[in-house]
Amino acid sequence: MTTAAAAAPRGGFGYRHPRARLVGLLGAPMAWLVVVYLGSLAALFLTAFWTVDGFTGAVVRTFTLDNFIDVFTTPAYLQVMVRTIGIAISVTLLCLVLAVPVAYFMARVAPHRWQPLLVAMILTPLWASYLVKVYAWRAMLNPESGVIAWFLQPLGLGGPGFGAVGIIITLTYLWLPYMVLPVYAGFSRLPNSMLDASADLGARSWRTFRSVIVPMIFPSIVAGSIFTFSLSLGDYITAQIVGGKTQMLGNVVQQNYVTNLPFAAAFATIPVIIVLIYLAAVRRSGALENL
Amino acid sequence: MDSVTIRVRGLSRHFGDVVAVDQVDLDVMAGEFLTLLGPSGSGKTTVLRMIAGFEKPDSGTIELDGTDVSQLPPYARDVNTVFQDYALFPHMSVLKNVEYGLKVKKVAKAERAERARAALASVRLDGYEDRAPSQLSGGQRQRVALARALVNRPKVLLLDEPLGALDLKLREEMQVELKEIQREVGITFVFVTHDQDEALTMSDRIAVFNEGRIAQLGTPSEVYEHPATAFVAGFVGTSNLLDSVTAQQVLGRPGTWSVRPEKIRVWIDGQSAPEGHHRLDGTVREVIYAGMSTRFVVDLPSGNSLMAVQQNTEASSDLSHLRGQGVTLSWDPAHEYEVS
Repeated sequence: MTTAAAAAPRGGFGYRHPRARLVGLLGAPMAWLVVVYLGSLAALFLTAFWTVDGFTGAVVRTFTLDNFIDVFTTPAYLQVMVRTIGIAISVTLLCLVLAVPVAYFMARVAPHRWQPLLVAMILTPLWASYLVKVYAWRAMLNPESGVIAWFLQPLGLGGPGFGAVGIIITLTYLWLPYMVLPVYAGFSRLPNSMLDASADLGARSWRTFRSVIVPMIFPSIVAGSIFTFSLSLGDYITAQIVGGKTQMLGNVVQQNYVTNLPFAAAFATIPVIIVLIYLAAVRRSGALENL
Repeated sequence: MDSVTIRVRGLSRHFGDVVAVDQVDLDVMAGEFLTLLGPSGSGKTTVLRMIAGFEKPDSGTIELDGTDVSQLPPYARDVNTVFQDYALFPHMSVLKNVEYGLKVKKVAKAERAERARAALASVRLDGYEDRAPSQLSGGQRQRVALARALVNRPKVLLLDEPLGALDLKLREEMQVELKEIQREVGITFVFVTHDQDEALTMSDRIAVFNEGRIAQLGTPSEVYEHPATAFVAGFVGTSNLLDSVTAQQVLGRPGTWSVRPEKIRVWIDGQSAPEGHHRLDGTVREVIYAGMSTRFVVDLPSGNSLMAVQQNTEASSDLSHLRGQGVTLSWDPAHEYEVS
């Protein structure tokens, strides 16, 4: 025995250094999340406490709560806030009412081999540009030449025209897939035996729907509503195109960010806070644990 | 056991091209524990689901206490089901689960809670009322499912392989417990399983299913000791068939015959075999020690083999030295039977 024993076989670099492997895996996404995403949110929040010089319009970096006081004491701004929340809630409820039957059909009624096709069909509107879709709705909602007005005229009714109702209809169209998909997933996960058990114990369809199906897909509904609610809350382009004179939160931000960036930042903080409050409320209901 | 609770006549159901249930006739007597036994795909579960109302029959009728219920939805039938996966509602507490059926039937709140608590006590789960199903073990969930069904006092309780997900020890305990509960409440049980031991242990009668039909209906001992077909002989217990040549030679009669392994005795010296026993020489191929007993696989001159089982009554029961040795098999002619 003159030669040294051969080195024992070893695993690769990643196997021997699990920490390095973790850094390699998560480094890029963490950098993105922390620097770009959280960083910009922090910058927004910080800017909201600054002010502008009345003459030059330059941002003055001194701490002040004036922007927030302005936001919460000006009736016009409060009105925009309430209207925006109302629109977001309406869109969410409308999406829910439309999504539940569609998702139920997709997951429980349609034959299995149709399901991929139906999911693809629900997704097709997302393939088209947001602007194209909103302009299409502008054309349809037009009070003189729109197809909706044309349909309603013989009945002696006027169309919704441009305004809050137009915004709600358009946003519902835009965000519906985000509600259908989670609710569809929820229905798919629901075991058949639960429905059998409910019927077996004497419950008719409506009772089973109320007492078993809705509570069991509630987390999916919450997931969908987080999308529809927060997307609606932050939207301003739809309001510009089909809203007529109706303004949403985003429009106020957009109008101010050139002339008074700190005020725009303060106003933009509001939807962030509303969504955080909504998430906290949802968390208390226990729905997030089942997502 | 004189009145018929469930009368099934000409019941058929197919899925696509597959005939799941083919012209089944079956009478379930009041208060009996009837087991539908068969391999998967034999139609036993489909029969149970048609009795519950989850599947509609293509043809045939199901009568419950003399009323045809075959076209009624599940909620209108006075039967309850214990599901294979228990199907407990995850968003309700144990008590709410058990109360569900009573609540749906608008039983007053106080009575509802009282009956549900009593049902939970009868399955030894008092104190678990406020737990969530996810906090229970498999055996406990099983008992909640049982209480949830029994609290409604159905005419018939249907059990769809309810012990399948439990480990062996728990399963054996639950077999005894289920049987006790059935005796106490006096409700008719229809029990589906593919486990022959379970069927033999618990049932008053067994219906052995094969390819959508009932191959044999009888008491456990009838089905075990006198199987009607080769399928039943093989499915209930170990198939131990004597081919025609061997039968002609040993029994003096042709045909396919069967003897249960535990009826066959193994002799090293053929002369010791009792008078009047049928005898057959062979060579031991395999000796399998199984704790309580030892199994012998014995090759016959005809090329077939038979299995024999002996209880390990001696202190040292290691018989592996018999492997390869010539032995004589013997059995009482009363234990041999012809199978079709």
